[in-house]
Amino acid sequence: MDLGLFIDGLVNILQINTLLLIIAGVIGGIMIGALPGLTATMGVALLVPFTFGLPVEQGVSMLLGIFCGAMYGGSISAILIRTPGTPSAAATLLDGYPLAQKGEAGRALSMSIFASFCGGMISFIMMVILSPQISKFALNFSAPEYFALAVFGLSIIISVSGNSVLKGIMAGVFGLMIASIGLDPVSGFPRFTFGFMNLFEGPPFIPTLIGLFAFSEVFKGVEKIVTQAKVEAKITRLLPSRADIKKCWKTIVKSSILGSFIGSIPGAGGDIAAFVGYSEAKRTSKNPENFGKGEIQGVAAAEAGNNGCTGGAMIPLLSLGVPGDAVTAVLLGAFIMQGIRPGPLLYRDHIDVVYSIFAGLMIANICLLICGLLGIRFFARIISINRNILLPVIFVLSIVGSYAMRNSLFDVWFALLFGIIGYFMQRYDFPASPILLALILGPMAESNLRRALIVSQGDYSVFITRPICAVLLFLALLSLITSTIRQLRLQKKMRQEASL
Amino acid sequence: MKKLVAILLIGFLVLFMAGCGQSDAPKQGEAQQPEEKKIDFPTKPVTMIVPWAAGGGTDAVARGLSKAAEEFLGQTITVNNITGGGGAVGFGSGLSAQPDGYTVTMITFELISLPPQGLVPFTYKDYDLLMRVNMDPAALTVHKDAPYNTLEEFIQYAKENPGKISVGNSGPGSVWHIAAGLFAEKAGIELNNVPYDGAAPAVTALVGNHIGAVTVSPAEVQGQVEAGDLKMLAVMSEERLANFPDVPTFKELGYDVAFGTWRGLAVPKGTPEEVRTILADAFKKAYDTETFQTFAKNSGLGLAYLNADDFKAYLDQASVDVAEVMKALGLAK
Amino acid sequence: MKKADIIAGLLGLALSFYIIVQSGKFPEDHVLLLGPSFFPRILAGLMVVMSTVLIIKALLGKSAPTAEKLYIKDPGIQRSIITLIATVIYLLLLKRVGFIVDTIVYLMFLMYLLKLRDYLKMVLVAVGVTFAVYYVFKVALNIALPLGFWG
Repeated sequence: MDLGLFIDGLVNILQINTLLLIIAGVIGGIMIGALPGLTATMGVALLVPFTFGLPVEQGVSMLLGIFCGAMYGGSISAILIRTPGTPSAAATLLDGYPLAQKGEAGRALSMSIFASFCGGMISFIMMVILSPQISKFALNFSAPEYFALAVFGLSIIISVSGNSVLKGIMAGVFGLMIASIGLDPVSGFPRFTFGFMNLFEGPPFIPTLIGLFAFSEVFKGVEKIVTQAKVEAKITRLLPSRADIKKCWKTIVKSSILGSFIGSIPGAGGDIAAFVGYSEAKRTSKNPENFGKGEIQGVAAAEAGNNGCTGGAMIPLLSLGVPGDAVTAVLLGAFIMQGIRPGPLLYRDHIDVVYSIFAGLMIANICLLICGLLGIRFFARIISINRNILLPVIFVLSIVGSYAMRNSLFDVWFALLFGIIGYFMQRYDFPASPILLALILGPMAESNLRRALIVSQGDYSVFITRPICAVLLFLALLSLITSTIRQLRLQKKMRQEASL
Repeated sequence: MKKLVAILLIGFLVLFMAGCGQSDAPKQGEAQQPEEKKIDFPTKPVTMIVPWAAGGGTDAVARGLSKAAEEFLGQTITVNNITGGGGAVGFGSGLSAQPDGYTVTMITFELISLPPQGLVPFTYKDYDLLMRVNMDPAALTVHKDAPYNTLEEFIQYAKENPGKISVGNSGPGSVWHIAAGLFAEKAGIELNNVPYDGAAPAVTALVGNHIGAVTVSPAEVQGQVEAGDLKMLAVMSEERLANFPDVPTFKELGYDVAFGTWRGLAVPKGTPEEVRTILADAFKKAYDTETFQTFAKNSGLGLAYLNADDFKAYLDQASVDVAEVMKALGLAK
Repeated sequence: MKKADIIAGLLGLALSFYIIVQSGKFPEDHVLLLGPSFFPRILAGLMVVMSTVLIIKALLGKSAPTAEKLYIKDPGIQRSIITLIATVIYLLLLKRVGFIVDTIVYLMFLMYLLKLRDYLKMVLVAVGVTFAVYYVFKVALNIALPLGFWG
């Protein structure tokens, strides 16, 4: 870290037109993130052509603004209408939506933006200071480690299993089954595709997500339109209260650091980070039984985790030239078309660009905080709209959102199918989040297990002899056992309370 | 009573929409007529179907090219990313469009590798080709600490340790998988092919020294090769590449392997010849613009224009080769 | 909840059975023994165990307390079913009628179904939302929504 160079970079960024571009990027990103079906990746991809005419620093800073904005934006719709605007916000809705139902949408939104900002800043600091070390660590990840990471992630299913561990695992296994639809990742053989070419690449992820969460919730809303009271959001303040910050700061810091690390591992992104952060917060909480019912710490953990990925994902991109996730893969393309090739040489040949990017990311996060805070009143108003207008509009947005990913009506039908499945699951107490985790991690677990064995020529010992892999697998086992015991105890306690 | 109203409303909805549906059938017939008169094309915006996601390499080429072509065509060109099925969904919907020239499809290598796997009911022969845009060869790239520095040493090593070198590719049946298979066949060696979810993860695994080599395009490893983390042993092009003048081709080393991925433009079979000519001219002019040439240079794109007939001849040969290699790799049925 | 749990368990068993039968048709990998059918079969096995436990628990009367019963005559449920049918019709007609007209009618129908009786508001919201969505996706994001003929 060279302070002089950083200040040069900052001066570069702090010009009125660059700032305006970043702000435009952040606002656009928040909107893209909040709309179901439009993800950070898509937002960045759609704006890349626009940045060609701009100098590198300006173009890239604007794209970073979109990245940060979209990561936060997803939480708005997750909190207000139980629709994760982006996959990364799926962990946020577990507690964000119950909070909004209690009339505390404002509180959840403030904490979400605050945690997003902290996550972004902490990961920015880690990126500036620890880039070389972290990227070296990330390079140790090969197929066996990815397999172990996926298994560890899958063990989180237990802690988001709601009222019944059994039903949670069943939902998880069902999700893994869905995830195995598509061309086999190793042999290319089509599995369970029913002859649909649309299913070759696996079940469409975003439409499934929209179906499970948004459609199912709207069906429920339609059913209960008469009996359900309208929720008002009272907004008394923009920043989270001192009590909330005091309660959550440890969670936020921990989640941000976890998020940065997970983001820096190529192939693991904000969605995984948010769930890992959430489950870690629940594990260490004094009142784990409040999680899932509107615990502010849950919102903080998930949002700090997914925004923590922003800086993390930049680490391998800048220092190794390999993208950390889907968004940075698009960024890599944008860099190359600007005539700049990220990688070890970037630090040697274009150190000024590197520091401008650092500065750009920092400014983007500050803009995010300001835009997000100013927007809270506006966002929260959504929830006060009459439900007989709001529900039809959510329906249309969900349909368009499922369509938009691949311009495909097939995906909309798929979303509708999962809407029906999700509706019955919700009715009979099967949690939906395990399906989501399974869809993200299932293909990762399977393909890396088999890939590891291909590389090792069928030798299973790679899973024990490689230290990172062995540790992760051990942690996964540990987490599986302890969280099962804890969750069973918790559920018993909750049942006793309910019967009293 | 309320139920009745609701049912009536649904009925109304159905009737209303069915009515709308009928009304547009004759209009579609009308819309086709003008194209049969030679000169008047295009009279409305043209759609370009891209079977890969926005933000990817193919998408960038399509957008760059169509932006430049708008000027020569006198109409806007809307890029429509219809993705899925490893390109299959986009290829399929490009084929099902009206053969009136208003839907152009960006076709890619996968169009000749999907049919041998028995995955799709169409081939490149169902299209009328317009032109080939680019061609990127495969390059054999290894880690900097690898015990081999030349192609000869690599082959020697592979012969001494059959099946021990793991070669990463971008997915089962992908172009780089086939490239490795073709190389192994021509060199008479046995390699351990490892499929990844795309080229980038394979390159990452190579940088981390978890696998022995990759056979992806030079642009995908350029950064790491220039930084000295990876070394490129040979490329599967006809001539040495401008960006890598020191890397020999397989051909000059005595292995008859010239192979790579390509992109081109096509319209559904049965499109009138005049329309095809107008489109091909406009896209060729767009291809020659300075903007597009600079864009291609910056993004490391191997421009390789072929006109419709040469492109057809090229595909006739390439599709046979690919099908053979895929059979040898156990990928084709 | 007892009935629901048994049905869920039976569905799980049926799904596992289907997967086991189907995966028998997948090509085998004789070298590593981890072919395309390896993972799905493990999952099917797990699902069989879980489903059986769920059914046994339900039969032993250990299911969680009853959730709301599903009555087909419940007006709420009927509303949901009508919504579903309307959505299916909407999607079937989307390509033929075009996004704008189809969406306006669909939105107005849903609002009517949800007992909105302020017709001016209904029309304004339906038209406004439809055009807003159309322009955001089409113009700003360059995503082509199906237009039909009425564009």
